[in-house]
Amino acid sequence: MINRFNRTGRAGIDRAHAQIELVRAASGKSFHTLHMEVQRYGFPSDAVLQLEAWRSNTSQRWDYGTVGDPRVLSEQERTLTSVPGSARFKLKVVAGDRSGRLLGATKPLSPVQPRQSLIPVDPVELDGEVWRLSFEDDGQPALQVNKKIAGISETIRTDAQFRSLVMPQILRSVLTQIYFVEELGPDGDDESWADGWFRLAKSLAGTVPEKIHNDSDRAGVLDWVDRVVARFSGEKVDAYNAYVRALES
Amino acid sequence: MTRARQFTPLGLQRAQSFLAEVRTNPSREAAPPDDLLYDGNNVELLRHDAPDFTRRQLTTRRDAARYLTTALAPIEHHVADHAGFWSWIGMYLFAEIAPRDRQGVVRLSSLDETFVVHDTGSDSRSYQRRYRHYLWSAWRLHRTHGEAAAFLLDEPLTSFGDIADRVFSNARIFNSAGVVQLILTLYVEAGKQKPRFGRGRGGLRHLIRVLDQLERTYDVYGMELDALLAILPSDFDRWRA
Repeated sequence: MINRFNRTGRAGIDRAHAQIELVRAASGKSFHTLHMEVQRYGFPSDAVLQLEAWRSNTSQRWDYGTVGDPRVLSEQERTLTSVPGSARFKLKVVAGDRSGRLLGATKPLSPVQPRQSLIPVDPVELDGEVWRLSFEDDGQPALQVNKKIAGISETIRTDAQFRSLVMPQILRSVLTQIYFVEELGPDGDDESWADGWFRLAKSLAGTVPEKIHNDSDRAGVLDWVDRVVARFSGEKVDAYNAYVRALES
Repeated sequence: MTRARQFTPLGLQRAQSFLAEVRTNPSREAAPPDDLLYDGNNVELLRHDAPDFTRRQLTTRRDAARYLTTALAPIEHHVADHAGFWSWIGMYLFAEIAPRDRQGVVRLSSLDETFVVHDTGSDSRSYQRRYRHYLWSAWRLHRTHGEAAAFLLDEPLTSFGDIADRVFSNARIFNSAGVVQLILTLYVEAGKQKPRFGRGRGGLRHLIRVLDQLERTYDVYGMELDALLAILPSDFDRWRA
């Protein structure tokens, strides 16, 4: 039995024992897969398993049965119909006596995105624009693309010219958003959507600055962003050569 | 009578242009042109077993819920979150449900989502605003809460009073049978909102804050009415009567 209880008396379920994966179905909707190991926490067998997803004021819940008799949900039941793919999840274990008392819960869980993509791609109406970077209320980015362009989602993943022109700018915008708008740094205690971007940046530049505290920090972060984007352009998307090759072909 | 359809992306775009035009030039005769509703560039048939619809006046959410529940029964799972269909039916019944002033002139809110539903991506705003769609929200309210939400069902279809506004603007509340019943139990009496229910200690806003605090210890939005009443602090006692 794992003895991790907070002052409310409920057990904290480790993220390693409740993982969410999102898969995009042929219909274009996403459905989730929940991998959970809650038996090891010693909850009563009649305790109820509830999975909740939310984003801003949207939410969706799934009843996963009880600890002693978990339900297996169909793919259709697991489809995200009321929340966007950028939603976060929480697994709750609730007393089986209908009191509503929480016996255990995870911290907010970020789902594993298909292909480990850092940024969801959303085909939407964009009128005259081809793409646009949008930010959710908490700053999390999404790449919106013009749905009227046939095969645009595939183009983004595979077209070297498009990637050479667009991806470095996306990286620059997201890092700027992280430091200058969301005022985040890599030292936060809670899991954040920015963590993956910090990891990517560190793999390119070797270091990641702390969150901004003063004007001197601002200048340093701007220089660092330039270095990260330059490395990304050269090493990840080979931007210059890809664009020159496209011009020559 | 006509077979149910769904908007194409172009149709949805044109529907939004129509709504913008009505806002700019409001009139009593405002109605979507037939080609928007039936032309193959703008719409597609929903599916082979899609129901037929006939235009009729729908005054309250209950009127709309009854009409749609019956019509959609065979395919309700298919259309439950179908942006193309709800946008089309919103336009098809536009003249019958659009809010009007005393002279009968159509006066639209600034939200397109009261008539059309955006296809959803990762943009959570499109999910939030879906609850403002007059027809979808009425149908969904009845489907989720039935007669437990009688007060809201009997309100005018296009009216969002204080309680309706709170319920329809937050999906967690909207989808929680216990919390919706709790709000209606505390703040509605004999089919009317109790006076001064919104502000102050024990009021609706206070309740929402307290529910947020109770979430640390309880699965608030999954609880039934009795369980919620049992854990409310004494601040709310005066509203229980």
